[in-house]
Amino acid sequence: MKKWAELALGIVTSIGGFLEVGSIATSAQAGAEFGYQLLWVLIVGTLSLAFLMEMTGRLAAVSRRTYVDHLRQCFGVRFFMAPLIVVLIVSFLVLASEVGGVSIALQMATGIGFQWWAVPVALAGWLLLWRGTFGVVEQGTAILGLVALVFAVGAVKLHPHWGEVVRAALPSAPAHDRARYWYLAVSILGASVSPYLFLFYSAGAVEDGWTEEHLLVNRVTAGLGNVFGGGLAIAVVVVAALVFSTRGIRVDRYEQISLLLASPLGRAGVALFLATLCITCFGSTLEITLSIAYLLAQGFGWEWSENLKPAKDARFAMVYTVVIVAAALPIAIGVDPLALTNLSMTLTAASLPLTVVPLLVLMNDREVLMKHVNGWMTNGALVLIALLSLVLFVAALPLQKLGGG
Amino acid sequence: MTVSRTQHHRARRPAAIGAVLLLAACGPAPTLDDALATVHSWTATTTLAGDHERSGVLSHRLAAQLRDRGADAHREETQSLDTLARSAGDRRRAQAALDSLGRALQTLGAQPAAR
Amino acid sequence: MSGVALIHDVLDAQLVDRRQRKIGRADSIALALSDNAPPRVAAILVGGPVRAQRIGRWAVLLSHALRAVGRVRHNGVTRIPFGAVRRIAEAIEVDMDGDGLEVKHVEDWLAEHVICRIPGAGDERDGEERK
Repeated sequence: MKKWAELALGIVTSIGGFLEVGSIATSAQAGAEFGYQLLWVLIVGTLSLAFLMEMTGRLAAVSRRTYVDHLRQCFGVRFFMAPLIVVLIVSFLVLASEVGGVSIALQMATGIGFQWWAVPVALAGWLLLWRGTFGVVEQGTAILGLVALVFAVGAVKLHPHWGEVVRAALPSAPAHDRARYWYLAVSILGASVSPYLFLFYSAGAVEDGWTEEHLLVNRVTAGLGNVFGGGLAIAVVVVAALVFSTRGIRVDRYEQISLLLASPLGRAGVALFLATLCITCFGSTLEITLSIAYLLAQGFGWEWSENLKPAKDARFAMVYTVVIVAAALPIAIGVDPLALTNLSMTLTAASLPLTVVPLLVLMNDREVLMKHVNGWMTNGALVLIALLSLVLFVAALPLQKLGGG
Repeated sequence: MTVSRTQHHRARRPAAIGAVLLLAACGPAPTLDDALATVHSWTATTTLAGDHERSGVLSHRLAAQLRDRGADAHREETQSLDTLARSAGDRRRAQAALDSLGRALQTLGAQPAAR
Repeated sequence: MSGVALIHDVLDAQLVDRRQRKIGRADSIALALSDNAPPRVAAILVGGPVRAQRIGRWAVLLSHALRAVGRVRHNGVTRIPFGAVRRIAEAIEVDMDGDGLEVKHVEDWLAEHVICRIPGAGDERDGEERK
């Protein structure tokens, strides 16, 4: 019984946790500019994330140690500094974008400018981290995040031509604006496969005390959860294709995205969109802030747990306190949230080799994983994801330059 | 061994910085079509928002924000079209596009503001 | 039992004290040399300065700068006698009390001067305290 509860929770977590500022923005842009054509990239990103989450979850469940812990010990502190610094920078930018997402949602609801919301949002997030437990952060944001299902309802109500949607699952080359197409492809991958997601997931497995008995929960959570979560991002693309692409609307500002659900769902659609943007970005704000604190604490061996009183892990608590407040600053001084989101997604994509390639070694270490090392299928998938990450590393910044305008 | 590797790194660093600067310098120049597409996009956005506002789906508060963003785009694109449209034909197209955005913005702005 | 590979199993491993509290990671390992005895593993070293030496010159400079700015006078390195090691498993357990170790200096200072002044932080002196 308990196991089923955990399974259900795991699935809910990934559905609620999947959509956030990056995937909403990039999916809306992709649908608006290229219709269904970029759906295949979303599928590639979702599958990659599912594999990476399953692997880091398995590593944590079998060894009772987090991915960061292994990364430092297996590769040594000198190498470890590279992923540490790069993930810190990239995650910080994504975090600032999430704060921007919450702030712009509040602006659209109240008419008060987004700059004014950034610091209150950060303080509210901090208070939750300070007083709440890991369960509160994980489950609370996940269950509230189910409001994102409204995109699925919206997509169905628009009666898309499902045959065309399915056909877009196969890669195709663009007829126009090639640079822009590949730039959006990179952004979508950056939005789906964010390193903070698997750092948070593997730390969560340790926080929740996972053991080998949780391997099934892990597999189902990573698999089904991402299928549902990715499905929601697909729904965003479909809605944007039908509402925006047909009218020639391109998404340059978050305010435009508020029109997405007005057509299929009316007044409620607008309100639920704002709720979705606000809640999912707030949830991600908490998760990324914790991920940054996890990364530093685990990398340097400090005491860490979201379940301990802050006095018991002072450095950990200090890091999340400083980070969440600092991430509010770019938004508070008026940096455009959508531009920041797009930049963060490109940089995330470029950073992936540093967190993905080491898994090739770790997931095949018999001393750590014993009989639970990768099989041929997971290794095959991992090699492909690693190659993809190298392509992203090379292509991301030039494409940002060529297609990011 | 270590020494030679360090020197190798140093030699590469200016090259890397150069590559980044080069990239920064040679972004794509904006074209007339891009600017026109942006104007068209905002006209469509404003028209759609106006429809939703009149039918009561979109709050006046949110409509006002969309109008402001549309006005921002109108201002920015007026400037860039000014430099991009060279021939008389281009100028006419640019002016027509800007005019229709202006008209759409007026219908959105015609609603009573919430605040 | 097969031997323990120092680099593989000890270097960079998580260290916990006798109450399972995390006290840092094994940043370096020190050997003791003497004239008439074979060399032996003397201590595990933990702390920013030894870590910085392993990372590279920029980290050493950064470490110096930080210590100058923070007016830190002690050397910031904790020596954990290798004889105190009790178990090498997911973490290395040492038979010591983490409280008062040099390496906990920053943690204790932050707890006392910053964290505990914010309401709801809990008490740093009590035992394990969960939210």
